[in-house]
Amino acid sequence: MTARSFAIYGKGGSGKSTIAAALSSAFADLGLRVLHIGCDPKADSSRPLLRRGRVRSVMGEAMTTRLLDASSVLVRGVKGITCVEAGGPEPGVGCAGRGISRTFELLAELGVSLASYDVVVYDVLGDVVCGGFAVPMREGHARYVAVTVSGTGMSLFAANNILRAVRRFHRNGVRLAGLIGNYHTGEAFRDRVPRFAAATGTSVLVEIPFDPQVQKAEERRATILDWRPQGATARAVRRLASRLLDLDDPPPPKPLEAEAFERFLARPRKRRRTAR
Amino acid sequence: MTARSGSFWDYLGRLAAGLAAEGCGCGAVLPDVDGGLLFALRDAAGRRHVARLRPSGGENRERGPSFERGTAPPAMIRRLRRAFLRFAARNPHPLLDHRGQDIGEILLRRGGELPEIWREELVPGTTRWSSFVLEELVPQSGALYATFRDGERRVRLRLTDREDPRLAGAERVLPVGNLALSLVEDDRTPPVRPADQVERFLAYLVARTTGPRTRIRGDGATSPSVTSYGGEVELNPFLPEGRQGASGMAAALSSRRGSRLKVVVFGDASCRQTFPPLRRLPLFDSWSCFPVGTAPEPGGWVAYDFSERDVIGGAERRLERLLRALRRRDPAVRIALVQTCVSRLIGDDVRGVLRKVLDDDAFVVLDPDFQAKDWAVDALVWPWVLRAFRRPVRQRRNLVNLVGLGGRGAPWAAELAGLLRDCGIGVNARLFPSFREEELERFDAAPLTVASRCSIVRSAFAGVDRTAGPSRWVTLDPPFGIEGTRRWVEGVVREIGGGPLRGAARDRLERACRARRRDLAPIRAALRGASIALVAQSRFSAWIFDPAEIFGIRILDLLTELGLEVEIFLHRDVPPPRELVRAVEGRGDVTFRTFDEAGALREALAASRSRLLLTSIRRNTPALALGKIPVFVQTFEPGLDGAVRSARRLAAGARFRFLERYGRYMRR
Ligand SMILES: Nc1ncnc2c1ncn2[C@@H]1O[C@H](COP(=O)(O)OP(=O)(O)OP(=O)(O)O)[C@@H](O)[C@H]1O
Ligand SMILES: [Mg+2]
Repeated sequence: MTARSFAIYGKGGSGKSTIAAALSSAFADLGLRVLHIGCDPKADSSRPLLRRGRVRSVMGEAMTTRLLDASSVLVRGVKGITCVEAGGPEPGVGCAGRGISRTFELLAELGVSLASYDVVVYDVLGDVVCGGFAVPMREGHARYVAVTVSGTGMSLFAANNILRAVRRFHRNGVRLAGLIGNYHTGEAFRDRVPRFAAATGTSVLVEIPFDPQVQKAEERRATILDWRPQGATARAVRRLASRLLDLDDPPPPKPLEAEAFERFLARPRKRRRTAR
Repeated sequence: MTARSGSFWDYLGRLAAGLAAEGCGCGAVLPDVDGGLLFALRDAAGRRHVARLRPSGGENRERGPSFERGTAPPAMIRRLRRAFLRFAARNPHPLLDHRGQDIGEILLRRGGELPEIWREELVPGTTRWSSFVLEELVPQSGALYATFRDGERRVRLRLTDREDPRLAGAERVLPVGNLALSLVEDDRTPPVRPADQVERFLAYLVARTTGPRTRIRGDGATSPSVTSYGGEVELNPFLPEGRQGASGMAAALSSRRGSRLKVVVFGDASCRQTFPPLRRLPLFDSWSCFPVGTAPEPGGWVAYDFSERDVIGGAERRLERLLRALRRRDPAVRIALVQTCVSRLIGDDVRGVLRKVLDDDAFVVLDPDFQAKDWAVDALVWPWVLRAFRRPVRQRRNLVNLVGLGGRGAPWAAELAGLLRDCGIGVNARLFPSFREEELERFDAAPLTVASRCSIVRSAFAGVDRTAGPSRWVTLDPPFGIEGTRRWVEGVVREIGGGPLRGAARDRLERACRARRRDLAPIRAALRGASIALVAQSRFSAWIFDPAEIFGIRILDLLTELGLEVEIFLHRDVPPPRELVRAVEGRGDVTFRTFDEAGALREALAASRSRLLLTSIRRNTPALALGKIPVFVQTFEPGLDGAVRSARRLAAGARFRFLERYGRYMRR
């Protein structure tokens, strides 16, 4: 059986890494063999999955040695989760996008076989800024794409762009899993998320409220799932995990055209008055 | 005693003396390249023999020292064997041992430590062979580079795997088991005495310290290149060899000794933007856009071939290293850095890096846009080249600079200079498509600069502020053909202020032209009745009639001067170029016809008696299929001798009957 693979995209700071790490942990709790791949030059995705130390990023290694071997870039984290970080250049130099695509080539060259995992989770940097960051989708690595949104105009704008990329790669077998509403920056625009899902022909997989424990977990280098296993956020992540495992063949998304998107944002929101 | 504490050369000297003292008649002992030892012997009767101690490693391991006798009497060898064993027991030397037989693979890491096995034997600064001292030992790109130096003489050897692709072009290769030694640089003057044969020593050493199955492997880093092209090629440590070998402009991209200008192509070595300035390719090369001849011209091109690492992580650091290396080599280096698509995509701060290493006036960054036209780089680089090297100098009368006729090494350079000398004019500097810096430094000494009238020169020097320099800039038709050359010389004389050419100078020029016409006569006779087709299929192919587009050649005048008749095929929609109408008027040797579609042209060409066809397409299959011999603009050389040479080429083409019969099979 080939692994089920999920990529988490979304606007910068919308909680992708937080959720991706928790998700990996939730999958591991289900007894699945998990590969967690951080596709961000920051290489911070697997931090909560490791008790100590860091994953040596693939690009970091590739830049400094020519003899790369799988054991130096694959690290075992909590619950037996295997972690990889793509890494990339320092901010402001080089081409991070190429770094991401090179990582995937290297992993293949190193013989890292996805077939030996049950699920693969990709945590991808911010928006799809260039072709390099679309590689998890383009090359058919991730079958399902989930997009984190907070409901703010800009987070939906980013999501809409990601939906375009997903639609483009639908022909390659990429499917949109749905939206993850993550409201840590406030719930003021929460109602927009289901409306946006409806407008673009997708659904909201799960909604996560602001949870002060998330930061605490972060400081302890743990996922929220392992820090507060019984909290609402942990339950939400587990719900997300099971919904993702149940996905079959969702239809291609219908991202909004520029004008339609502007109209969507301009439409008055329902419970606005009551919220004040 | 270790190799470190004494040279093996000295040791072998002592060994020979020791053997001689034991009555073995041994004059010298030399290492053999397979790890054996050679003994120069002389018997009682004074006859010379050579005995050889087989390498006892590998297959021979168990057999102990065994000698090949050669012509020497057996008793002599027995004595030698005993004496040798005694000496070796009393004076052990690590290089008499066989070690490392079991080593399967030697891993060379760039910048890493040297393989353990040679830690003792190869010590830079200490290890010697006779008067050569090991200067440097660097692992790079799966090879180990060893440099030996004796005063001014340098020998650089490379140890690689025997299958290494770099050995394909190498001249001298010594196989050592699975490994191979090749000469990368060599300053020794042949014949090379054994005392100077460092490769012999190194091969012996490698054979004694590795096994027959030992392989060598690197970590894939870049390495110095050894590609050579027209001689004088300097090592370019910044271009991986594979790439250099792969691209046809390998040599053009490697930097040549002696040029202070380095053009750093920052990005992919095969970027098309790097092609246009590389015009020092052979005369008939398809990439050459200019008739520069095959003479090597100073270049100084350093291709900075991007690796994946550079693209992802940025190339600033490596660029800085390159610049520092170039600067170390020559503190007065001038750098023209050509940006490429990739370098601009990753957005490295090249100006910042350049400024860090060089003074502001020592570099220029050339930023042709992504869709740069062929001459965009030229237009950027040449004005700067002139600026970068020009020095204030006193002007001297009767000197002239020539722009657009190649450098000092062009085949016609000496002749043109001679013709001008006869008129009392000296050539001061030559520029484009090549140059010498020392000539550019004195560029302003000439009151006159004569540029060739053609668009490539015009575009390349469009940015030169011609009025600012003290040298007056004029444009003349370049000297193609005998008439053309005469007119050109007269033009130069006129422009320099000598008025029309008169007296003895004029006679000399006339005599020279007459002599060449005499040389031309038999070739013209051979060409009698032969004709060449010129085709303009569309408005865009009418350029062949435009001298500006073909290096200033007035093609119709030139062809008829060289003895050819000309048939012109012009598409009905192409307005006959003015130049053409003027040239054709009232001339029996030029015929002129129009056609309206490709089929008609093919028929007309098939029916025509022109055996030659002027074209710019390398494999002009339709023309070949019709049995036509393609002639390229590059066939024509400037100067009087050049005219004769061009005519010879045309005559050879016209004689060539092969295509007439078999051309139609070359359709694909
Ligand atoms: N539900 C939540 N409740 C509280 N804080 C949250 C929640 N989700 C995310 N955060 C906090 O938001 C910040 C950004 O989250 P995270 O790093 O996961 O975002 P990201 O999308 O991966 O960002 P980037 O695009 O920079 O990689 C973190 O400090 C995280 O702790
Ligand atoms: Mg993140």
